[in-house]
Amino acid sequence: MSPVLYYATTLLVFFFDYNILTWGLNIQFGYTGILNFAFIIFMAIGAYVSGVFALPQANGIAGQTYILGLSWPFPLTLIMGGLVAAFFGLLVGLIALKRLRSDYMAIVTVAVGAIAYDFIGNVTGLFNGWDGLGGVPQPLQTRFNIDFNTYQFVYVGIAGVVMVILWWLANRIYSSPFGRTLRSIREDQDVSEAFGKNTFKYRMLAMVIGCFYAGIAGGILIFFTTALNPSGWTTGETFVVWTALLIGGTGNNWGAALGALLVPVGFQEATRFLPQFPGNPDLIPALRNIIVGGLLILVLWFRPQGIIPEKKARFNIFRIPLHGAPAEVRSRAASIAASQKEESNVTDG
Amino acid sequence: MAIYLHAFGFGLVTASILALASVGLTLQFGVTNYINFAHGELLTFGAYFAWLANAHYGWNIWLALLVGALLTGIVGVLLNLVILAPFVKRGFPVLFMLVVTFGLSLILSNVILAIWGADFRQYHVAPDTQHSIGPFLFTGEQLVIIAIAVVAMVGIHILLTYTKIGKAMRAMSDNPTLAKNCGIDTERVTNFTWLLSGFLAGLAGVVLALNISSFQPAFGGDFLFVIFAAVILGGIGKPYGAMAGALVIGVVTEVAAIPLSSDFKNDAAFAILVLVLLLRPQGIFASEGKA
Amino acid sequence: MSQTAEALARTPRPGEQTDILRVEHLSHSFGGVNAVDDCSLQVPANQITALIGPNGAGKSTLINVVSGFYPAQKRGTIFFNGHNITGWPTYRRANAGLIRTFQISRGYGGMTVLENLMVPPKKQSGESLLNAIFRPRLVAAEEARHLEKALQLLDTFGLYEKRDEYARNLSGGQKRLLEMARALMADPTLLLLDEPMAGVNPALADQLAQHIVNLAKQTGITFLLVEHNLGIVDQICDHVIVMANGRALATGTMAEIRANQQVVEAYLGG
Repeated sequence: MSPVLYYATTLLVFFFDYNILTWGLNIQFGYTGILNFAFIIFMAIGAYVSGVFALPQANGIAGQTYILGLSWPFPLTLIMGGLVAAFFGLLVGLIALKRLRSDYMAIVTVAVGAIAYDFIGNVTGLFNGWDGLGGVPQPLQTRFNIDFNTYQFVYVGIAGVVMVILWWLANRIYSSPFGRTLRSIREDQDVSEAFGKNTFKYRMLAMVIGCFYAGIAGGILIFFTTALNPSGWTTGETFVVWTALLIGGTGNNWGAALGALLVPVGFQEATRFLPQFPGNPDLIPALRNIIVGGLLILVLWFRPQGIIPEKKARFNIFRIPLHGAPAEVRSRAASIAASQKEESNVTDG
Repeated sequence: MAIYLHAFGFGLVTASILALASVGLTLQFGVTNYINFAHGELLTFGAYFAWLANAHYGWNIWLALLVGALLTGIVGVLLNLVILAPFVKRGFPVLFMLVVTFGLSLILSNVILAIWGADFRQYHVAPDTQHSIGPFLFTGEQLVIIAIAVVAMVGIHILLTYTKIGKAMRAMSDNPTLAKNCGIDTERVTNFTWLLSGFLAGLAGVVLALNISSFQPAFGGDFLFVIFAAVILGGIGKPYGAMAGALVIGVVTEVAAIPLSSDFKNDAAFAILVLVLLLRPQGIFASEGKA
Repeated sequence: MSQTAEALARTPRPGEQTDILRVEHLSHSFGGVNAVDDCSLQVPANQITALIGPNGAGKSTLINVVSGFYPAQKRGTIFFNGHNITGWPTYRRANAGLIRTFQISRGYGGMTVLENLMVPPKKQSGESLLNAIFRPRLVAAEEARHLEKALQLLDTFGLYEKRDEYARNLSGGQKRLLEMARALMADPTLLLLDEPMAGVNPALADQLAQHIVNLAKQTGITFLLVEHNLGIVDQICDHVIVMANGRALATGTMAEIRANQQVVEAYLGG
């Protein structure tokens, strides 16, 4: 396999993975207005949990200590990662989402982020501490013994299928009455509560679904790279997802995908091979983070709706029954009906 | 038993540091009505400014502390003038202001990293001796830290109670619309609040760095949620509540470090934060929070 | 089922007079000051009732306690439509038919006018995650029904042409109209209107008043309005409750209220 093709397929997997992450954040922030400043933690949980479900018993691999080690098959491992991340989303939601003010929610997520980072790093028996998990078996690889070059393409396929399913789900949610209620809560939570919506329940659902997305993205990541340690999910990584979403367009999954292409894939990859400064090895990563943070603030100032803004909701008002409809609808619907020689096909229940 | 008493003493020192940091944060929240997630980076700035004066130019540490705090206050005002106030003027909702300050925290921590590198830094201070006061053991530095916090808190009390600008800050915190209609120059009060909040954060950053003896660019940001725990415990936006909250969190984290391990002492602050949010989100010292 | 048939189902038989809302000995305090102080009042069903009183009388606090926005402080009882709703969360009160509007109109600014109207219908099956994913036909049929009602209401309130406009782009008056139309989508039994005419020009105030009268007549919805415009109150309300110092001072028709010496003093002294 040529290095170019190898690099391209790798980028494609990262792009698919960041799409899933950014849609997850979009469901939380873009649809519902939930501030989750520890979003990347849920990705890490999904990755580690997927990993320890797939890995064999801990004593099998030299030097690593971790829980479980069940050697489960794919895709159960991936789903468990998503579910456990969702469960932690539920716990954080229980603490953070009861309160009306968005500040509390943001504070709790920041605190959770700091605690989780130290906890996973310090408790070595959990996911091998600061060294992180390694040697995670890749899906289908062990069973079918696919050669290294072909596997690159197989994995693009696996990540692609998962991405397409989650794309479909995210859009289905958006355009449903459920998604509409989520958006109404983003616009004005009090008003939605006054219309009989249990806003705590809805925000909780959005939190849990978004964290499920993050968890799945984590699984897709660790099965590709086969390793993950805490330096792969610092606060800076949370910003990358936030910046991608805000630049692309909050509330729009196409926008989120564009953001994922521009920020984590485009910008991060383009600057990956910059030479290090002798004397200050942290200078380049620091400058990259400054640019990511700066982009976030600039986009909020110059184009808060993002490159591809949220779409207006469209209703097909000509599908409704004719009786009782306003005059304009009646006349226009009648002319359409006449041209199609067919009545509107939705019946009154 | 003695070990717990000593831990209690350390707790008083931590509480002093926390009080400086959390009163600044809570005052700024009261006046501007949004949380500054870059407050931890202000602590870091203070520590590095003072380090520059102390280790680089060889100034006395207490003079360096004052310079560091003043410069951090100016950073606070600049942040407000250049970035935050324009967003507020545009009518950005609180939700987005939080995203902005969160973005600022990433930028500032990496600016520090880019300028000063990731190495651990230390102040040039003379070796210190321990003094036993009652059942407690303090170093000379720690006694000065406590004294600084006490003086600052008394100063804050005088400011809020007797000065015109302090009263204006309280008025803006209670009812911003009314304050504006009463002819308070809200822009000036906001800038002053950022100066004060930055100054206190700078003080806190230097004394925190002194107390843990070495620091690196992430140390202020890592301390942020402990500050949050104190602020929320005292009722968000309440300066006296934050002082009391700092006392509780400071003592509890240090005492908890004895049976647990110092790796997990901040988890105690987290546990308190969670309990307060679940049971009494308006804070234990406030009757009506801004919740 | 048409709107009128639904209304008939909950309209009491002629001659029967019931109170849809009963507040008994309710108190609510802020930092030790009782904004609502041992307040008892009744709102008769199928009528338009006004809640008036000087500034600081506790009207808004009462509305917020009754609708559940201020959590109950365990002093006093609220009955709505036969249920003791005192400890209920806001959304549960709304689902029982107690719908409110806000003093400052609060549209869902980032959603279109039509979409604003599609949010309130209660118990939408498509609001369940599983239905939203797996039962698109069920959801679509229900959406069509809500859409029909929404379009009718937009037509009634003169907002039909604005249906695809973002709510934040409406004028102040149009926002008021939207707010009322949207509240009707929730099928209220009792509609609490918190100063519906505030900041509205006289022509539009008349228009809103006419809508309220028509709705009360056609649908049997009970209205409770907090209102400062006594001319409008006189014109459209069957029943007036005067609040002062946190409690109900007097009730009756506007004519009776005007003749009440206590009320006059409260207004002048308050």
